[in-house]
Parts: sequence; C-alpha cells; structure tokens
Amino acid sequence: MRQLLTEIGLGMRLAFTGGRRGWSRTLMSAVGVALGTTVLLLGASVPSMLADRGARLDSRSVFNPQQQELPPGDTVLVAEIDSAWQDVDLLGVLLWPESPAAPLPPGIPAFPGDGEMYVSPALAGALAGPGAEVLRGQLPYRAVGTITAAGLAGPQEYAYYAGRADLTERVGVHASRLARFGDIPEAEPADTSTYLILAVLITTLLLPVAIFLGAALRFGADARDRRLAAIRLAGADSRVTRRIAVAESLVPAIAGLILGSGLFLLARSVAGQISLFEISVFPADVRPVPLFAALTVLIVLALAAVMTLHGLRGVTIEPLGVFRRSLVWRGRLWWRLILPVLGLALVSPVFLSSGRVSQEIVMLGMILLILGVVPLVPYLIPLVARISPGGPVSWQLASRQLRQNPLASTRAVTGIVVGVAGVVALNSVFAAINVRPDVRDHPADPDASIIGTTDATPAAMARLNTTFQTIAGVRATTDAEYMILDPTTGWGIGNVYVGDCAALDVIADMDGCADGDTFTVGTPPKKLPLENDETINLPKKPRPAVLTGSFAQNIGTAVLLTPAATPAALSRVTPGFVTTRLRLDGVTATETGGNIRGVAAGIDPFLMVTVFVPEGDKFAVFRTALNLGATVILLLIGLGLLLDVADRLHDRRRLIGALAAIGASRTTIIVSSAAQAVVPVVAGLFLAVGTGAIVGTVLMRMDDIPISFSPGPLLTPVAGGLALIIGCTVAVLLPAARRLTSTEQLRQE
Amino acid sequence: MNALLTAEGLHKAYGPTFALAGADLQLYAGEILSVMGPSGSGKSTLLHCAAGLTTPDQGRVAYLGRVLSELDDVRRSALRRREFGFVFQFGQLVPELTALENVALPLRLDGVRRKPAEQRAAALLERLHLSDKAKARPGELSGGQQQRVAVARALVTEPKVIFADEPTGALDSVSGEQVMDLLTGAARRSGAAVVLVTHDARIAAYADRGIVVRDGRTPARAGIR
Amino acid sequence: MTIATAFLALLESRPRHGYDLKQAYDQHFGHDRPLHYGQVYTTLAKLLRNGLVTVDGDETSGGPDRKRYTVTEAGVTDVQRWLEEPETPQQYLQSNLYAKVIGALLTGRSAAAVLDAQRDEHLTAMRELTRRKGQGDLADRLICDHALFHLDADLRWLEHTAVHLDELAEQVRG
Ligand SMILES: Nc1ncnc2c1ncn2[C@@H]1O[C@H](COP(=O)(O)OP(=O)(O)OP(=O)(O)O)[C@@H](O)[C@H]1O
Ligand SMILES: [Mg+2]
Repeated sequence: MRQLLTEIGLGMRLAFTGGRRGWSRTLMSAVGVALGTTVLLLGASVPSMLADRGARLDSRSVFNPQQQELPPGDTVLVAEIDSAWQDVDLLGVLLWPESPAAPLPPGIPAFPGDGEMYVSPALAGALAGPGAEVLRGQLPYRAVGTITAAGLAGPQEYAYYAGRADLTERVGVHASRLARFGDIPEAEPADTSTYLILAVLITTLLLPVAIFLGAALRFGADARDRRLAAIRLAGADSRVTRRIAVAESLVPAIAGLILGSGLFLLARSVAGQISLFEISVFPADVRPVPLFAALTVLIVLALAAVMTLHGLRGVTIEPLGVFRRSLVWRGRLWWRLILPVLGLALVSPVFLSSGRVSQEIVMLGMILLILGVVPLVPYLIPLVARISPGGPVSWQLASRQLRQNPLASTRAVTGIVVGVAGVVALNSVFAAINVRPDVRDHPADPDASIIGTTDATPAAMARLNTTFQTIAGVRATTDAEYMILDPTTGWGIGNVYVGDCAALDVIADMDGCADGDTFTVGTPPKKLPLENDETINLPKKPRPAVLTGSFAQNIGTAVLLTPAATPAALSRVTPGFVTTRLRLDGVTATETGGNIRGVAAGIDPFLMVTVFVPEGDKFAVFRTALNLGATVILLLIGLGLLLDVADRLHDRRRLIGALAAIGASRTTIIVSSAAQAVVPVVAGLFLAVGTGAIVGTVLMRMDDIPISFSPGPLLTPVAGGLALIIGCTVAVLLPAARRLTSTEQLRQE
Repeated sequence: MNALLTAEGLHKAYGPTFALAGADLQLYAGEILSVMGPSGSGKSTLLHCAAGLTTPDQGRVAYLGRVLSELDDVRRSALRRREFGFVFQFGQLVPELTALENVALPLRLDGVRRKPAEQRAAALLERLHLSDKAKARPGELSGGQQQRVAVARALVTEPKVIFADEPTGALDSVSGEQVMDLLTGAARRSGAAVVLVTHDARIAAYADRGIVVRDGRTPARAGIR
Repeated sequence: MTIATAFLALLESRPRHGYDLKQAYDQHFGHDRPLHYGQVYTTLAKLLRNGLVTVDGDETSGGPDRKRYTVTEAGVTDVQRWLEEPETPQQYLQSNLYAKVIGALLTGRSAAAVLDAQRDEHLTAMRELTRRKGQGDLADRLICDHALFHLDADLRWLEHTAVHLDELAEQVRG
C-alpha cells in the first residue's frame, strides 16, 4: 500500500517538474478536464432539474376531470389562458375564490383582488421593458406582487395570477371549479428517450473535450516516455511504470475536477438567467444527483487514466529506452467506412420514405456521420501527401513525415474537422431558415387567426373586423363555420361557412362575389342537416368554388354563404367556430403580434389567438449559442493544435538543428513544418464540408425546409478553421524557427 | 570460487545483423572486469544481456544460479533495483528529478521512505563531492557531474554488480579519471563487482581482469603456433 | 637528461651538500633507480673539473658529504640550454614489436596471437601502473600517467594493426 502511495507521489511529483513545458502540459490538460467535468456535472443535474420543475408544475396543476360535479364550497374558480409574448409562452391563471378558505395556488401569498395580478419576475421585467404598453394590452390588471419560485416552472417563465370576479359567469365554459391545486399531475414524466437524447448530447459535447484532453496529455509524451525508461532502468517493472504514468496524469485530472466544479458553480449561478427551448431552471434546481456526481469524478479520473494508457499503447518502455512498436500503418479503408455508412443508412429514410421517420434514429445517424469523420482523416492524409512525391526539399521532408505517421499528424486536426462539420451543418440549416422565415402550413393561409366567440351575427362579425383593423397594417375578415351532418350517422361530412365576400375570399377562390351569392365545394346535398336539429335548404343557383390553403386538404364538401343568402334558420344554430383571420400587410408579426393579442384580450380574455408566422427570431438564441460553442470549441482545439505543433517541433529540435547545421535555410524548415501542419487540416476541412453539407441536408429535410446552400455559412466555419490553423502554426513556427535553427540544439540535454 | 554471474553461448541478432554470436562472460564477486573490443563488436549487447535488459536469442545468463531469462519482468525489475546498478554513457538520469531525488530513486522504488532514502542519497553525493549539487537537475550539471550522480545512483542500493557501459565515454581524461576513481574506489569498498564496457585501455586498466569481444564472440586466446 | 644536468638544476635552486644532492635527486628524478654514492662523487668531480660547480670555503679537506656545492655561471647556462632544447620525438617505426609482427607473418605464424599476447602484456602493465597510481602522490601519479599514455598509444597501434593484418600479410608474402 505504501509502495503504491510512493509510486503515486513520484508520478505526481513528475507532473510538477517538467519545467515550463511540463507546466503548460499540466495546465492544458486541467482545462480540458475542467470543461469535461462541467459538462458532466450539468448532465448529472438534469434529472434533478426535471424533477424539481415537474414537481412545481404538478403542484400548480388546475386539471380536474370532475369539474362539472363539484359543488361550490371551499373552492376556487380558475381559468388558464395560454398566450405568448414575443414568441415566448405567456401563462395566465385567472382566479376567483368562492370562500375565504379557498385553496391558494403555490407561489402567491394571497388571492389577488378583482383586477389585480401577481406576475412572475420575468414578466415583471418584460412589463418594464420595451413594448410594455403593448404587452399591457393583454394584461388589464394591476400588478400587486410577484410569484415566488414555488409557483413557477422556471425563473424565465412569463406567468401571472390575476383575480377576476366575472369568472363566476364562465363556470363550465372557460373556468372550472377546483377544491385543490395539483390534484392531478400534469407534468409529463421524463421518458427514456429524453435520457437517451441527453446521453447522446453529453457524448457529443464531451467528444471535442476528450480529443483536446488526448492532445494535451500526449503533449510531451515523448519526453515522458524517455523519463519512464530511465525510471525503469532504476528498477521499476512495467506495471509500476504504468502506474507512475497514470499517477502523473492524475494531477491534471484532479486539478481539472476542482476547476470544473468551480465552473459548474459559476454556470449554476447564471443558470437562472438563461432560457433554452423555453425552459429555464432555478440555480437551486441544478443539483447533481449524488450518484451521478460520484460517477462524474470516476469518469474523469478513468478518462485521464485511459487516455494515458492509450497513449502508451504501441509503446514498449524498456530500461534501455522507448520502443515504438512501429504500429505498421495499415491504411485499410473498410473499417473506417463503417461509421459513415452506418450513419448514412440511418439518415436515409429522410430522403427515401415519405412517411414518418424516427427522429431518434435520424439523430443517431447524424451523430455517427459526424463522428465517422474521425477515422477517415488519417486515411486521407497520406493520399494527399502522395499527390506530389517530388518537389523541393521542404515538401519532401513534410510529405515523408505525413505518410509515415499520419496518426500523429492528425490527432489535433480531427477535433477541428468534427467541430467544423457540425457547425457547417447547423449553419447551413439556419441560413436556409433565414431564406424562408415563413412557417405557415400553406402560403395561402392567413398570418393569424382568432377564435373563441360564438356571436355569429353579421354585426358582431363586422365589429370584430373593425376592432382588429385598428392595428396598423392588419386586414381582418371573419367567418362563421357550421358543421354539416350525415343524416343517418350524425357525423360531420362538411362545413357551411358564412361571411362577407372579403371573408370568403380568404378561404376560397370564386369567380366573383356579391352579397347574396352562394358557392359550393364538391356536391353537398340539397338539404343540409346541421346541429341543434336544424336543417336548411341549399340556396338556389349555387356556383362552384375551390377552397384555398390548408383547408383544401381537410374538407370534403363545403357551402359558402354570403350574409344575404343566409337562411334565417341558421341563426338558431350554434356555430362551430367564429374565426377572425388576419392578414398582415407591410408589417411583421414581430411588430404587431403583441398588439393583436392585446386587442383580443380586450374583447375577451378567452379568445384564442394563433399567430402562424414567427413573432420573434426563434433561432437567434440558437445561433448565438452555436457561435459561442463553436468559438469555444475551436479555441480549445486551436490550443490543442498549438501544443501539438510546439511539441512536434520540440521533439524534432535536434533533427532541425542538424538540418540547419548542414545548411538548410530557415525558409525550408519553416515551409516544411508548416506544410506538415496545414496539409492535414486542408484534407480534413474538405471532409468536414462534405459531412456538414450532408447533415445539413438531413436537417433541412426533417424540418421541411427547401434544401438550399449558400456559400457564406458553409465556408465561414471553414475559413475560421483554416485561419486558426495558419495562425497557430505561424505563432509557434516563426519564433521557434529562430531558436531551433541555431545549432545550439545539437547539445545533449 | 563460484562465479557471481555467468553468461554462456550468448547469441543475439537484430534482424540480419548479428550482435552476439557465442559470447561468454564470468564475473566473480567483488572483481572488476573490463570488456573491450572494437566499435560494433557487441560489447553493449553483451552487457545488456548479462544485466537482463535484453533477452538473448540463445544461451543463458545466470545470476547466483537464477537464470535471468526465466524470471518475469517484476523479478527482473526487483533484481535491477536491489542487486544491480547501472552507469551508462548518458541518458540514465530522470531529467525532471533533482540529483538527490535521482540518487534516491531506486530506494524509493524499493519501498524505502523518503527521509531515509534521501539521507542515504545525500551521504553518497557527499562521498562523490557533489553535496552542493544535490538540488540541481541533471540538465544543470556538467557531463562529469552527471556521471558522478549516476555512479551515486548505481551505488545507493549497495548492489552486488555494477554494469557500466562507457561510463566516461563523453568525458575528458581528467573527469573520466575522477569518475573511474570514484566508481572503482566505491565498488571495492562495498565489495561490488563491476562489468566495465569500454574501448579505452586506460579505463580498462582500472579492471582486475579483461575480456575482449570481437565480432560478437569472446574468443579464448590462440597460441602462437 | 643526464645526472650532471639534474645536479646542476638542483644546485641552481640552492647550494647543497653531496648527501643532500643524492636525496633530492632520488626524490625527483630517481624513482626506480636510486643513485649510488660512487655515481654522486664521480659526477660532482666531473662538474668541478669543468667549472660548472664550486666548493664553498675551506671545507675542501673532508669527504664530499661534508662539502657544500654551489652552481657557477657556466653551470646555470648549461641548465638553461638543456631546458631550451626540445627533446627529439622517439620514432618507434622499427620497434621490436613491429619486427615481431613481420617475423610472425614471414614465418607463417599467427601475427594476431602475437598482438594478443602483447595486448595482455601491455594491459597487465597498465593495470599495475593504475594500481600504483592510486597509492602514490601527485608526482607518482603523473609519472605513472606518462607511462600509461605511452602504453595506451602502443595498444591503439596494436588494435589498429590487428585490423590490417590480412592486408599486411599479403604485402609481406607477396
Ligand atoms: N537495437 C538494435 N537494433 C539493431 N541493431 C542493433 C541494436 N543494438 C545493437 N545493434 C547492432 O548490434 C551490433 C553490436 O552493437 P553493440 O551496441 O553491442 O556494439 P558495441 O560493441 O557496444 O559498439 P560501440 O563500441 O560502438 O558502443 C552492431 O552492429 C549494432 O548495429
Ligand atoms: Mg556500446
């Protein structure tokens, strides 16, 4: 036991005594480990985040299946209003207690009075922010306090609890009676697929970190191997030697764990300010599950050890020195193709079948495609190096080196390639989305629709139109929709639409329209059985029309009536929907979405507003995240590359010194070293662009975005990667070349 | 008197080149044996085989009756640690450790606590006139000083055999002499046997007895017929 | 170097009695062969006759041990000339050893064995010198070193010749 401690102590001692190079090696590895630790700890906190959020959602649930039967008592009337503000969900809960002992929802200290509300901190922020007057249109209440964490899904949730005495008039229609909040859990339990995706995500995030870590740990590996040989001569057996090497790598691992925990705490403290997929978490929710936290520590330590042992694979450390069992470079292609082919097979349904495809499988396929790049790069490099066997001495030196040891030349590059491939894929998708920001099902469909009223009189419909048209740039039409029933089965076989010519024009194509006209789609019966046991006759001389937009697909037969052609009997029928359809003209939904919702709330808080075009730049946050992530990853990998170039120069400094001594010019040496760094990168970037384009195409297909590529987003990451390499190489090479080309280097260390 | 170390009929080939083609070696306790021969004749290979650092293709090496090639890595390592010491031309010191730590290394690997190990190392450094360099790294020492540190390390476990391969190869004659005086003096005092590979007759003259390696063989002397 | 020159050099450092001279000579120059008293007297007599030394005062009567000798101007000049004149490097081209090698080759015996035997002999001598060197003072060490370097040179020649023996044999017989 003490022997083991001695070995570990010795190994750790060695980690601290490598001089400047040893230190930078330890530091770099520690940074890599720290990033990995942070990712893992955040991952380990996901279950608790989901559980806490779920518990809060459950506790405020207003779902009550027996709402009709419940008699008034110590009860509260509640109604939920789902709205949005700048494309972020806005939850409203209207409350009115029916007794002083009525149950209070979690998160507020007392029931708000009539016309008062409690708002979430985020909503309070929005109410103080730009466009607040418009937002206030939706919230005709006076804020009297804020909702505490217990009543919110997350810190960034827009929510309010408002008191409304008139809920008593809406019981059974919009409002329900509740004896208890959280009676029936409503949060969807996290299923296995959530965890699966999470696992895949963490793996993906960990990959660049692992690659970087590998590069950092291998930094100075040759010196390490020589040192281990010397220790072996002093009487260490090979197991002890390996233990010492592993112990040496434990220093950065432990430092990284500490640093990573710090980063995790930092991330946790800012977690409350970030909202992803409209989900935000309280810092208190971000608690690693103890088991997973322990696993994280184990994984990190194991990773460092495994990476070290992996680096020692193929190296025999003997007392007399280090023997590289020259891993005979077998440039076999077939096994390198397994991953990409498998990936292509998994994503192929997206292109081949028109039916539903499993998102999980396609995602796995895309990840395999991106990972598949890694083994392909080393295969590509000797090919490139072989293109021109002749050339100047500098190229001769470089291409020899590349062909002999493609693995060493690529270890830092693969990370860049993977990163660039991913960024290319996502970037091209975002670019394609930017081309067509419109996400309506059909271009003929309106931009927004409002449903919820039942008053289908022409006067009421006209009033709705004028009310919405007070918003600049909005054109509103309103139609009422009745269901035509099959006389025998009572099932719906079509619809009767009632509206003025402008309204009908929005939903159908007709050859001219005047009040009093009737149009038919398909062949409706002469007598139209409707709800409320009414039957109306099809007016004389109907003309044919065609439904437009997404209606056309759903409805078999339809009758379109202008107000003057409407039979009186229809007024006794309750319409299925009265829909106000809005067209935006010269304004965007981002500008007017809030106004529309505000006006609708002014008419009736229970009107349901659906905006079919984006009210905000939904992908802005993704783009930022992607750019940030890509920058961090590229920086990390650039750092790894820097280490790698420096390391290889250091290892070959005697050779370079000798070359200089026999008269090789500095330019020859710089060009040769630069070629060795740049050729693998160029080869890898070609691969990255190809893979990125494929994955991008898959993503576009999945989201039904027309496939298009623009050179900008495709090439920007490539240019970035290239610039990074060249920058790093130059940064290391130029100063190093001066030092290295002095024959000083011939001196034995 | 029985030999401490016996090597018989050693053959060793590296690919097509023969490094050893039937070499013998006998080492008696406490003696200093020189191994001479032209460059490339197989001297180093013979030493490596005799010390168990290399396994010969043919022939056997026995140390106190134990056949080295039949020992596993752990036992051979233990032998290196406790019974053998090494002084090579260069490269045997760990560049990251100080002179003191380098000398203490075999003891530490053998489970001796840090304090006593370093005390013994310090005593040896003192004997080799290196006390003021105890804290220096090998890179900060001259060639002769590095070799003296190596000698100290070879002696620290009080080994039975010290294997020295061109211990003065990189040194001038004065420093070489100094290293040899210290090495042989200390070895004689502690009763350690020394295998001394060199092509320098003046170094070989420190030995009690010498053998010559030619073309991988250690021929017995032929008569002048 | 002759005994006479050595005496002059010793007397130049300071005047000495005859006994004194012998002691000093044995210490610095004698090493293997201490001087006989007879050699001392005859050498001193010759130096006196040539006017290179003088005897102090009236002590001319007693034996040489009782007389004090001093170097003369001429004596000092003699020492100066000795030191100024470099030694002629010894040429060993026709050394005994080379003669033996040729002899072995001519008679069809093993010249390699001759060389090996000589190597052993040289090495034995070198071991002995190295051992002595370890025990003596600095002067002894340097003397031994001188011999060692010479023997080393011989040995190198032996090794060098061993490599060329076949070639040499052809020339000798051909
Ligand atoms: N690891 C090796 N791989 C290939 N050949 C080797 C190896 N080690 C030694 N040899 C060969 O074996 C032969 C003997 O080498 P060895 O190092 O034993 O010679 P040496 O007598 O020590 O020479 P020197 O005096 O130059 O050190 C040489 O021809 C050498 O090329
Ligand atoms: Mg050798």
